[in-house]
Amino acid sequence: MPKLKLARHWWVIGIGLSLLFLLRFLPPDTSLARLRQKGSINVCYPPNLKPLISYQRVGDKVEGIETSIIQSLAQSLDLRINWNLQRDWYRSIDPSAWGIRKGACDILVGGIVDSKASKGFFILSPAHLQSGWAMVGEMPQRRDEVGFWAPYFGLDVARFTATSYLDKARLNPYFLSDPDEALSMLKSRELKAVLTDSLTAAWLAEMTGLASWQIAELPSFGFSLATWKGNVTLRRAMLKSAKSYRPETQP
Amino acid sequence: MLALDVQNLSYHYQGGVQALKQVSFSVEEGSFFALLGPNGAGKSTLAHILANLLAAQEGEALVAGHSVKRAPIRVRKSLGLVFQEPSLDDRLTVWENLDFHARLYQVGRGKGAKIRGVLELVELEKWSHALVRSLSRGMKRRVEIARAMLHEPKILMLDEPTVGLDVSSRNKLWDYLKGLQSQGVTLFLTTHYIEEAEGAHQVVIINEGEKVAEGTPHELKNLIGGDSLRLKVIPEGLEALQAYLASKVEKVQLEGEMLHIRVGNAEKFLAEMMPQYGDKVTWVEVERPTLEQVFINLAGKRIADSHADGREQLLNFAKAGGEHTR
Amino acid sequence: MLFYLSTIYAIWLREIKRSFRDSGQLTGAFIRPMLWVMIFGIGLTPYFSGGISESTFVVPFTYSQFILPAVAVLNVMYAAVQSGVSLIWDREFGFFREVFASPAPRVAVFLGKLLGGATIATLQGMLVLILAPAADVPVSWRQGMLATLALFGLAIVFSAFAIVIASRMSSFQGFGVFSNALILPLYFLSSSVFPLDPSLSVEQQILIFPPWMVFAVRVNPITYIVDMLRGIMIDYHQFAPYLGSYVLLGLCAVLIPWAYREFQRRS
Repeated sequence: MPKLKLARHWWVIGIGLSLLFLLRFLPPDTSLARLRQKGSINVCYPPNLKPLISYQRVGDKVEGIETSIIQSLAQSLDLRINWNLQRDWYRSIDPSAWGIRKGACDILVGGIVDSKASKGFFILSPAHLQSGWAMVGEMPQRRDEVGFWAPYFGLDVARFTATSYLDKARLNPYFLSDPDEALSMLKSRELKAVLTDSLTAAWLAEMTGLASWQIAELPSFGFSLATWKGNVTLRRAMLKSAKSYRPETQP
Repeated sequence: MLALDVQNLSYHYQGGVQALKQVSFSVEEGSFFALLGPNGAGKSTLAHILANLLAAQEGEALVAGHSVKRAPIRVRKSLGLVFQEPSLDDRLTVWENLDFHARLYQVGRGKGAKIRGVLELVELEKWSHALVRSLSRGMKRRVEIARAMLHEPKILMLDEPTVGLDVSSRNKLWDYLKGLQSQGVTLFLTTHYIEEAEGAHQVVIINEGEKVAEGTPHELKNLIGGDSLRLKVIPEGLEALQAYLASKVEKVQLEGEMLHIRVGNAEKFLAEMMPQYGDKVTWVEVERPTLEQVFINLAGKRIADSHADGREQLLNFAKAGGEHTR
Repeated sequence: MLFYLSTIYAIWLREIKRSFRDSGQLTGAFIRPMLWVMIFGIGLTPYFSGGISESTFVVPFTYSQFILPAVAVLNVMYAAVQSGVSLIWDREFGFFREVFASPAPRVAVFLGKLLGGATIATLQGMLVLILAPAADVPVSWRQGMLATLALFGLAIVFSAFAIVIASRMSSFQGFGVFSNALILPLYFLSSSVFPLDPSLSVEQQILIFPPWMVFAVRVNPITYIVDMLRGIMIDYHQFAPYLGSYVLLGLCAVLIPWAYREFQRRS
């Protein structure tokens, strides 16, 4: 039978393949190397996105479900966390007015939805939290005012479907400006119900003792960590730590 | 039974160049047939028509009794082909080339044994796993002959098989071919080398697409009147000998001291003449006619090489290392 | 039927063996993704990675991610054209004379040639996927399969195209002509190295890019195939999601019969 099986220049194929496999491990940028040199990581976050993340004046600390993923990441990279509060984040509709500067943030966290719209600005880690739409309070009747709270980054399309859902149910949306307002208006019965993401809804229900229920017709979405485009090495580190990350609270 | 039967075959290329004009001949089974002619005479065209690579516009050809037009697959199966230009894949090994051929010709069962058999035939068993590009030209030709024999064809058709080979390779090739012929394979050879046609049972000479002569080499030579015989005669005997010769042949020429005649067979003639006139003859010159002379007589020109065409130019470009041509 | 398959297999196998033994072609297949993804892609990535307010074009990918599928297409085109073009040589001098004089059916010979070229081209296209992690394109098994399928489709189309061209040429001056006159123009005009911003209408694109270029990109069928591959690999479309596969099927329907006609006419 033929001794010459297929290729004559196996070494060309060997060298070619091994070069390709080696090249894929070449760091394509310096984003991770810079952090290691600095010894710390700048994490930008919005002021109040309870229960996901929020700044507590009392004790000067950052709290919320989303802080644990950051801590796990910083731990795996052996970096100090440098919490960097972005005061104007979510204050207006236009993200370019939020004053988030590239140089000040290595990673961004806080209600960043894993969506195409977010990918227009960031590269994302795989979603570490799953959420959807939920209502909290009493079942609203036609023409009732229903609080609406979902300022999340990259939610654009889903937000639109949610408001049109309210429209169809003949409910009037009342746009809330932060989760504390939602809480107080529910408590004072100024609002019968609030439509928000299911994590926030669960928190509101717990705080008020009201019922909450999922809106299955509306699409679910996930929250991710974000970093700037081109920070491929940092994102790889994020992916790696995300694999070992076990969330403490998962609805 | 006839191995080949060609009837009034005509072919003209697009653009009107007529390559074959009403050519007819037939080849006996088991014989050695040579198609002789200069380059561009239409030999390859004819071979390609028989191999079904070209379709003749007029006429008919039967290969092993099958019509080229109506039963092309049977024709193809009964022909073993060796082309003028090498047609092996030189990036495959000898074995792989033969294996490929065996698949295309549905050799099927016993394929391995058959491949070994034909390689033995051309004494290349040891080279079966060599890449074809590493072989010499002569060896490549032998591989092609082995390949052509792989599907056990009735007729082996060789189109200028020895072009570009050195003398010893040629001789070797002829040994193989004669061996095959003695086993009953019909040999169909196109060539412009006279010597190769000399050994054939039957020769057809073509020139500019027309058949100009047909017959055994001997018959063809007789066309120009047989052997040429020159005799130097002592002056006293000249008259007597001239008279004797005039009684035997039509034309006796006196060239200086030499008498020149043409006879069918010089030996026979001399054997008859010498006992009577041997004492008058001082010098005998016998010249046998060659097919070359026959051709010159018939076509008025030599069988010589002609110009290089566009394809040959491209071939040269590639041989000079033309980029990515293969 | 068995004979058809056997012929297809013989021709296919020969095509595969030849390509694997052509170190020149192999070298090209390995070097090309390295150049385009590792040097071109990574080199230009920082220029396309602004912050929130710094971005000129808001696009959901990085430059390396953007170019990777196009490089796979480029590798496929090279290999497919190389295989098709070898037909000129085979037909004029050599090996295909043996094939055409054999009892093997032409359809099977044609299909073997087409599939052989397409297989090699697909393999070379898949080489590019090895670099996907370097370009930050996560490729799941499902995406990998779909991408391979798409590359195979392109490989078939391009092999057929190359056979058409090879059948219509009686002589040629080497492969350089094809790479410069055919592959590279098609590649550069396929929205491969720069995006026509998807959020812009044709009228708006013409304001940014010269109209002749927008036109050339839009009539180039490779554009839609690159776009389909991007859809599979980085979930990004400039055009309707299924447009690419329709274009591919359309090209198959036109080019394969055409290539067969030319192939038969010239053999």
